[in-house]
Amino acid sequence: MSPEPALGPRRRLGRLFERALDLPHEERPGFVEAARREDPELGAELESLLASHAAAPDYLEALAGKVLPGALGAFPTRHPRTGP
Amino acid sequence: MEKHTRGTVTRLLDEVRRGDRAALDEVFDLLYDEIQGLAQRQRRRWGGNHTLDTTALVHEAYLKLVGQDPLDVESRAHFCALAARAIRHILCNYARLQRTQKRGGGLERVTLDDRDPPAPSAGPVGEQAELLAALDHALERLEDLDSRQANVVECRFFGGMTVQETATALGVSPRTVKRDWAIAQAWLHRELEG
Repeated sequence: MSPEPALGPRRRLGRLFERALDLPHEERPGFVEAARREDPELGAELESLLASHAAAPDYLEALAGKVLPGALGAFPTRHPRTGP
Repeated sequence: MEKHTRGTVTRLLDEVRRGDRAALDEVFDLLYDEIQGLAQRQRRRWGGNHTLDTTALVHEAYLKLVGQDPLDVESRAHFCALAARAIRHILCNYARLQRTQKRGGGLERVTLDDRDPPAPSAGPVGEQAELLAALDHALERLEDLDSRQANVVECRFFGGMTVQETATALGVSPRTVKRDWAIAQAWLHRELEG
């Protein structure tokens, strides 16, 4: 019996992704290969997302730094009902 | 907001649903404080310091939020998550408006309200507006795949909430937040840059 019988594919992918990141770098290819053997589609997606993570491990932080300073200028600084 | 209990918020939202205008004003004040609190923290972090009256967009986000089932709003923490979602809607709607106006459009109406849209004198411009609009679109797709991951991104990216704050707001463990954030980040990077 699977230890996580209720998990859908997306949640299983999340668990695999987390476990892969916890592994030493050199052990990840073998982990991905094992995942591929069990579920080719899930394994391929895992490999793709791990590559994306490796390319930009702080992507959202960098994106926030790029877009939020200007975007937050659009935010109201006074109460819309009561005015300044 | 601290003085309001979970029961108070739920009662107020029930009254809003029944058409009580005074309750609506009170809830609006509660939500506005939450939105402003998160936005101010984000502004301090990222240095946005312009001013612009975006009454229509704030009101639009508010109307969207109170349109949700009040039973979903069970705590101040959950309210924070809703406020982070409101910030996303406000900023991304504004980005789309900027993009449309820059293209000489007007074909795309971004406000749901009947109030005037904000003047495009501040806020995201050019590449920033494009990136924000693209991020919003990608998040919509992520919501279809895994709504919790999209919620984590809303709380952390737009609301500037910590892992622990996000975990409390969404009712999950900090580990789950870290996992969702990491995989959502990889997915968004692939979608937006790949």
